[in-house]
Amino acid sequence: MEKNELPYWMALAHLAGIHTADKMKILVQCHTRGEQLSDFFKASDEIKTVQYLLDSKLIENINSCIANIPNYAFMAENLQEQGFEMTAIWDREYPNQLKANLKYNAPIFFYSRGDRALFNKPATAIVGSRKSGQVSLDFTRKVAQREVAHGKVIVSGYAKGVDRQALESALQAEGKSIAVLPQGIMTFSSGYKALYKYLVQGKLLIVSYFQPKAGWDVGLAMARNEIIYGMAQDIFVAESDNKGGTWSGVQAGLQRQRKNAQDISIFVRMPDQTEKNANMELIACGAVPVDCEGNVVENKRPLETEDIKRKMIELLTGRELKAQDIAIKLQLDWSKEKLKSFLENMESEGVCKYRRGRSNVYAIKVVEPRLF
Amino acid sequence: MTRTEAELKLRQIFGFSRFYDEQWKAISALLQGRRILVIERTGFGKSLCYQFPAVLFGGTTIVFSPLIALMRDQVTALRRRGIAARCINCEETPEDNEKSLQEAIDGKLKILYIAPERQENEHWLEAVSKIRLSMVVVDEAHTISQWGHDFRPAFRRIKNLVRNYLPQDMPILAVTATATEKVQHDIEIQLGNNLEVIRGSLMRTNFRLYVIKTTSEEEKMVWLKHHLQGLPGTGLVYAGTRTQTSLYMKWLQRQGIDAVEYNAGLDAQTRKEIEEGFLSNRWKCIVSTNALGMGIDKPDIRFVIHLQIPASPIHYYQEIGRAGRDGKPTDIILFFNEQRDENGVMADYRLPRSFIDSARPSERKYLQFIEALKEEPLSEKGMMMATNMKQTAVRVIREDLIEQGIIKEVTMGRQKFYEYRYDAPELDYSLYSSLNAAKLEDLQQMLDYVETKQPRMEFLCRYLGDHEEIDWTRTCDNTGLPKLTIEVQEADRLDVQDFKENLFPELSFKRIPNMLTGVAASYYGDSNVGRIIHHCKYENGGDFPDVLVRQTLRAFRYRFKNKKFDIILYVPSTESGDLVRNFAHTIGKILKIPVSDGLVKQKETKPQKIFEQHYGKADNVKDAFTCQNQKEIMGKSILLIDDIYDSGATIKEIGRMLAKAGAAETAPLVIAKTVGGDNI
Repeated sequence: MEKNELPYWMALAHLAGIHTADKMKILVQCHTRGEQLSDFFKASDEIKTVQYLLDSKLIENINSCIANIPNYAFMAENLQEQGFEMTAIWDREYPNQLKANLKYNAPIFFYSRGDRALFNKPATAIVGSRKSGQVSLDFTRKVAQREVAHGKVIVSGYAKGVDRQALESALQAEGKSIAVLPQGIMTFSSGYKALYKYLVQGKLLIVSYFQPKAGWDVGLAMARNEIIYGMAQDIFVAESDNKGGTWSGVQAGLQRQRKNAQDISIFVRMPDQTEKNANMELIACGAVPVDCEGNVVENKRPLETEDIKRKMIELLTGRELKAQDIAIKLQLDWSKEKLKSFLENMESEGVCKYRRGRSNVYAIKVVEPRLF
Repeated sequence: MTRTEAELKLRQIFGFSRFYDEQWKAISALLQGRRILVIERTGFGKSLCYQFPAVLFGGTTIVFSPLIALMRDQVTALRRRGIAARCINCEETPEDNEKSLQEAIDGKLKILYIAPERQENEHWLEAVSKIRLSMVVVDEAHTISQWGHDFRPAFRRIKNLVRNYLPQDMPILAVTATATEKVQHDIEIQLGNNLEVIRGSLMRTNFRLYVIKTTSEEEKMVWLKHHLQGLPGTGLVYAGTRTQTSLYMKWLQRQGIDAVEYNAGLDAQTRKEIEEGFLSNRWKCIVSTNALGMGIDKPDIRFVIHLQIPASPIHYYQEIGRAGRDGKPTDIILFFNEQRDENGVMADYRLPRSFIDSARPSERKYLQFIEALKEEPLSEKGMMMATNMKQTAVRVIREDLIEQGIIKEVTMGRQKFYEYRYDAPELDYSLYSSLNAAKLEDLQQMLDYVETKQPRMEFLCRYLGDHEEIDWTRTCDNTGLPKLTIEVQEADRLDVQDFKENLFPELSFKRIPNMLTGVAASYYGDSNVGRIIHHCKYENGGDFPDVLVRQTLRAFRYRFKNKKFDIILYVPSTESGDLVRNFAHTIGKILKIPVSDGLVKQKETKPQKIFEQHYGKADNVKDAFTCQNQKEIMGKSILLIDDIYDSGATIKEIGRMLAKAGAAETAPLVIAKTVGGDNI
């Protein structure tokens, strides 16, 4: 793309009060007409109404930012000068996988630094919560090493915990990585300094689609998760809570998978029984369980669960216990809800709930002997 | 807007009744959002081409200008007319600059002048994203071209901005008074497509151009002695080096002519005082390097005399163009010393040639630099340390590598760092070879100007791409004006000789600790002293003769009459054997100061004169010297003797070493000091 188109792209990308999908519709119109984005901006209101089918409010909104084009020109020059690159959705460098996955919701414009060729290399995302434990970090490292060995680019979000582990492991294994920032591309100086050699050697691509000077923000962090999932064919989840970025990202991914029957796979690390996370729930929703080496576990119901069931039946045979006491005796580090639903699911094994005064207790239902 | 409507506004706002046709052509194009390059001579009214539309536009016009003095003048003039204008540059206070930015952001300014360097300033870039911009102007547009006569790397980003990023329908104006067709073409490429060119006549009909050929520096001095006072009005004498400004000022003062010197080596306050005095004709003439005059709006400079040829006809046109803006007759005189040395090189060719030759470090240094930056980002200081190069070299290389897209400048915190660009292209050093060749060609053109039989103004105009045909009669010494000649009488010769023998050039060392201002017995070039030294050093002429001893002692007494020295040290020689040693011992015996042989080399060095660049010389002697007996110098006053003072790198290195070793003070005494271009 011509550099003098960039200010128009920046203007559209950062224009508030209009959905990404609507911006995308404008771009599709432009593209099918064989026009540049600047042509659209410069077009008369009539053309914007008749050909682009925009309402007057939207036209007013778009026209109002035309005066800012020279300002974006200064910004674009400065960005380029500082070594940043800009990629629009119809540039050949734009990540195709992302376009295919997010369709009209894909960001129309990226800022980046490093080797843009990584955008279109087969990629694996490794994700997980910021507070992941050592088990998850080990998992991340192993998966990153294995994927890198298979020539995959590791995509992550440069958050603490799993994200950073993924990036570091990939680079240490002589692999390549993409980091999707939860902030503007220009507010990452310390990162560029730390990662300088990898950037110079073409092993790393740093990406952001927010206002270049935007600081870290929880909203931005949530929004960028979708991009991480969207860029990868394979997604490995090291650890997820039942809410937050990782959770909602995976849910969205699973939904897309169902809806579009796309060729993306979501793998979730199978937790052991002492973990508090929601990995099992993701597996229940359809994600593929993998062991701590990242290999697919054939049996979706892990052995551990069977063990727990067996132990519970032993425990409850001949006595009544409150849920809380069961947890203590079996050393289960589960949430109340998890434990409750687990016990309720054991009805077929004969576990029943009884009311005793103000509290509930569980026991094995005694089957009366029959005479005949 | 029609021209009539515009001229009505022009009268109301600026008080002029009409535009020149070329002005209106530019203005009407800008009002339509086009991109224009205006090449018009000084005094034409180029500024009006943007000032007028700027007033009509809704937002703020940004004028990138490399000349701070000019910016200020323009702002003052505009404000007098009630037009909201301000300027931002390094000489304003930070508070004033901040205020200017805020007013621009608040939409209160019509015109904002700004130095091109600001485009690297984060604060400015932050602010400019909030200013409503209506037009961008590039002032002194010839400085954006590498092929131009005053290339400014700081414009690199502005070029990039204009060519690649600013919307095509935004009005852009570039203006210059001097651009050859080659430079014009380069500006068109640099600023991108659709640049329409408006080129006016460069002819200065009020100029009387003369060339005076000489065979010595002495003849120039004698001509000035007899004729300068008689020239009408006040004017400028341009010298090639700072040393020369001081030499000629003293010579003219000796002749009772009211002269003062000006060069970039003077402190800011002195410079400002001279600039002001210049405007009010306080002196008959100012002997200056070409630092003075650029951007100073003085209509009645009556004469410009060049003691040395500039680097090209375009430099020359530009420098003489500052004179006679009022249209009254103005004398333009160029001296040229055509005396050839043993290699057949003409005396006045040497200095400009040496400037060209020393403009760039070697390719190896460039590569060394790139390798260092592949490892880690470095600050300017970091680069100097990583590559062991001087600041000047680092800066030259840095700008070139940024221009080539191999490295980039980034801001981390408050500091600037330089980084290797991922996927950078290979270094193209050949660019500098062709630049060098072009500069040599330009210099050759200047020699052609000296020799031409053509009307001199015609020669300059053609060179600058102006092909207008006019009557050239009596515009120069080739078209009816008398040839200027020099007759040197015996009395003049003695006068010059006496002057030179009592000149005693100063050697100043502001940045070296414990270093006193030293003295040279004479200048090297154009004097017997230089010839004698050369004979002794390179033609086996034996010890330095008594005449040099006597002259050196006179210099010593002139400078250090009542000063007591504890010890004499001399600079150990690289190739002239014991010449300096014997000389120092002779001086010591006469002055009754003990001489020590204790200053020695601790590493092999090459003769300083083989290095063309100062940074080469400094590298060559770095850590090269040591004192064998530290007690000898501890707390002592030292007289340091050498034969020739050229770049000063050796003396400075020794001065630093002595200070570190505990010397109380060091005063250099040398036989001769070179002037730029001297061949030693």
